[in-house]
Amino acid sequence: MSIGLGTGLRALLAAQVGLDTVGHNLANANTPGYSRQRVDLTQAMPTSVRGILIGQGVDIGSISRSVDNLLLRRIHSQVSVSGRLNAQFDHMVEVEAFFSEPADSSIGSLMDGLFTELASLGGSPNDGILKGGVVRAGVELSARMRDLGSTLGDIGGTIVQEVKGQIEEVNRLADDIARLNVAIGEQLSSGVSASDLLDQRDRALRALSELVDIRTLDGGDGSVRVTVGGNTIVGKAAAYDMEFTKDNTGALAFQIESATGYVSITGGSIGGLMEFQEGFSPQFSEGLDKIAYNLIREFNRAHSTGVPASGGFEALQASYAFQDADGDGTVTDERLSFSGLPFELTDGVLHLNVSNAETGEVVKHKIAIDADRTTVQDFLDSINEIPELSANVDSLGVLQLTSDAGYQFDFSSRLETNPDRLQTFGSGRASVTNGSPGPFALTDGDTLDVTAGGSSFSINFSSADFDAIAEATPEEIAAVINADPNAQANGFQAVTVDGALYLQTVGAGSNQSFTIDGGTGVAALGLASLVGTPIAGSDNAVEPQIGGSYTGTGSNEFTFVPRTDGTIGTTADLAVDVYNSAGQIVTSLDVGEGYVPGTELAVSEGITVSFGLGELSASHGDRFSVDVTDNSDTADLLVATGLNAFFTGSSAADMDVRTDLRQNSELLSTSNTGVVGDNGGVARMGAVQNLQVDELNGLSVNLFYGQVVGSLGFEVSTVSQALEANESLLGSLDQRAQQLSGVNVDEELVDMLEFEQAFQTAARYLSVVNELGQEILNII
Amino acid sequence: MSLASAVKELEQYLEQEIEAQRQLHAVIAEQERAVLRGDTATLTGTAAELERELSGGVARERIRRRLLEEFGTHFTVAPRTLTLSSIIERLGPHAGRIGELRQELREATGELMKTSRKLSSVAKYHQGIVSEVLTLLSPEGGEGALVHVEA
Repeated sequence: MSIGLGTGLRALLAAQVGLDTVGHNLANANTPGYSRQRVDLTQAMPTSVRGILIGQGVDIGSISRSVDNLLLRRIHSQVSVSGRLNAQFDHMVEVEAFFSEPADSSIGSLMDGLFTELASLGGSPNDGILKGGVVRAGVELSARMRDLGSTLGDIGGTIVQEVKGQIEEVNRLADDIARLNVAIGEQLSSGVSASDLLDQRDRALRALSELVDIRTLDGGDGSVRVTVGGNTIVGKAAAYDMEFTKDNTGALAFQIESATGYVSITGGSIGGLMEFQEGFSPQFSEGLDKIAYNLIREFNRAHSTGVPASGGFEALQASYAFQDADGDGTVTDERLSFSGLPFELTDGVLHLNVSNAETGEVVKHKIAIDADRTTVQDFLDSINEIPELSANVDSLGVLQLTSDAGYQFDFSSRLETNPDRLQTFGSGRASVTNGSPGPFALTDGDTLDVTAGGSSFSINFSSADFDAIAEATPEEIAAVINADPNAQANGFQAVTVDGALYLQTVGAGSNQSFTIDGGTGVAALGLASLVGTPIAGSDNAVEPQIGGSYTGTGSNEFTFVPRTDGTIGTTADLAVDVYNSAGQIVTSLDVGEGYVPGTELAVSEGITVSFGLGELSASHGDRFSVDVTDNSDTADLLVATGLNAFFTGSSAADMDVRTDLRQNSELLSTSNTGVVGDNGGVARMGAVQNLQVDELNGLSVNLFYGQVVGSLGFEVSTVSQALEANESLLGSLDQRAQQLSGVNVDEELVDMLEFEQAFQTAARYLSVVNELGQEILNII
Repeated sequence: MSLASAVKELEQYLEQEIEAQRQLHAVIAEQERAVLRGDTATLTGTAAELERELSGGVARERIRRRLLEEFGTHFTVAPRTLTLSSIIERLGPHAGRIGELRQELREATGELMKTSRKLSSVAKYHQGIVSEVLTLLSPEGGEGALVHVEA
């Protein structure tokens, strides 16, 4: 080939490559991520012919891309932020839709519905249809809570699956980038343009950025090294698999094949999903659980201490089971605070009422609870000591209470109908006390000599009957007396009232009497002044009656003590002083001359009392006490065990209405007393709507729910705005990249037109140069 | 004009022509580089420079014709038959630096011609190809319809 022909051929080839490049640019004008290419021409190396260097025309130097690598890195970073925000936003909107405010089926509406039904029932507490409405509203609210609770819980599982899928995509892209690294290196080393492969790799890097926050570093020879959280996921020629696993604490974590330890992913859609999974989702899931937990607890506090309109219970089963925390095979040895109940117990008192279904007589009992010390068995024993009531824990750890036939029980704060049950206040029994609460310094073998029922006998006190006989309590002394066969045979007994020991006849009437004859223990018992004085009964009993409803707060004990001896309604200036539990006189009741027996007298805080015709004896220590309280379960034992609960469960996912209540709405505890028309129970349940709960930041359940929903809306709005701002920024960066790397068809054609014109001009002048040159050569 | 004066004037003309040929070569070399780089702006700029250089060639051509007529009169031959080598031969020892300058001019012009021909060839190839691409790719599918969107 001649030199001239070779030069022309190179020029032609160069032009052809230029043409190909222009065509390639134009063909990819709309290809996402395509970078405009340009041909860099270079002068061909001259060839030596017989020692003379002769030029060889034009060669293709290189085909280069119009890209700004710094801008690309910035774009990858913004893509990562967008991926994170997009992933979060999608799921946040999903959660917002689940809460579906302000739709009728929302939690807020259903809570309002429950309290609206209660308000209706408050006007007609015995209306069976309205009771059914309350129960149905509770069932609907519970069902919605469960739906939402389980849905929020399911989101966690969905996200884990989504992350797993995206990790597969991360690994695929990492493989692609590694493969492209190798291919780019090979092309560059053989002098071939790798522009298209570089574009492919840029697209893969961008796709990877959408999934995780990456950092790219020059790996040499055209390769790029990619790191995630400081760990290499793509090396010069190899990719390292990312895995989804759990760390030492059981939390979800990521590992990369090439690295030790766990990888922190904070960007891209995976970072967004993890942030949602670990921050946003639990926040609202826990918020909903908190609402459910506190609603269940407060509602059950109100319901469990109420009484159905039909009266007390013959049997009740707890909703929650005691757990064998120490794993010894039995639950009864567990202390109540550590017995696995879902709600917390505190130190306090449980009031338990046993009523006679036939007579309506109510006997009140109190069980003291030391949450950290009282065992399940202690509690069972306390109940089993109550006459006509028994308790046991079944094989599943569920507490069951049963009353004897003809009796019912409840946990309300109702008042005792017969406060002088032990007949120590002007009863027909012969009764006397020294008023001392003890302890009494008896010694082993001391005696009390008594004449009663026509017989004289001696009661012996043995140290075996006392914890410490030198500090004998009224209860221990009463137990010894009541166990004495002679006392039993002669109708003589002892009782304790308000901490004082009373000696009395079993029978009532003016024919009943006893005399303390003496004995070695008389002085220690504080009865020496009564020796030889006959104590007689009466044909008339005062039989005080308590009425009204306690309007005070907390608990109190009113003790009624006659100021003098005398007959109700007859003796001038006969008065009964009423003391509170602090020992202060609350009021003095004038029951002497002019008082009509049976007339109700106001005591204090809504409590009234009436007295029948009878004789009171201050000198014999007559007195009786009445317990009043606004909370009959200060230990929260009913809430913790779920006895007479309205709701069961302890979170949104397991919230429900008690099964037997669902089936029979007549079990709804609408009353405080069991008296027809009493809506106290309904009122207390209704009050839960506005009750400020410490665990809910001092807000009511409704307001806290509103706060949760408001917070959800705020979060969604914040992320939405951040997403919008980021998309705008990313759009701007993309536009800049497009201006630099994108193909503008018109510009390409205009450039070519300019080339053509320049070539035409050059060719014209070159022709003149040639002509002139030829002319000069002709004269040489 | 004496023969000595004509020789002296021919020497001056040859020096000017050599310089002009070298200037042209420099411009064309720059133009060649512009073509290789695809640098339209430089290509256009060098074309203007080339035009300026070529305009100076008209005055030198008049001087060349006048001197050839002067030597034709002295040698009583037709001026169009004269070449530098025949003038040197006829002047003999009186040719002075003309022989040396003739050699320099031949080299400068030869260099210029070589570069010019090469560049001309490349430019023609480019022009043809670009013209073809424009015909194929212009929106109207024909010539003369392309308008720069920002023009």
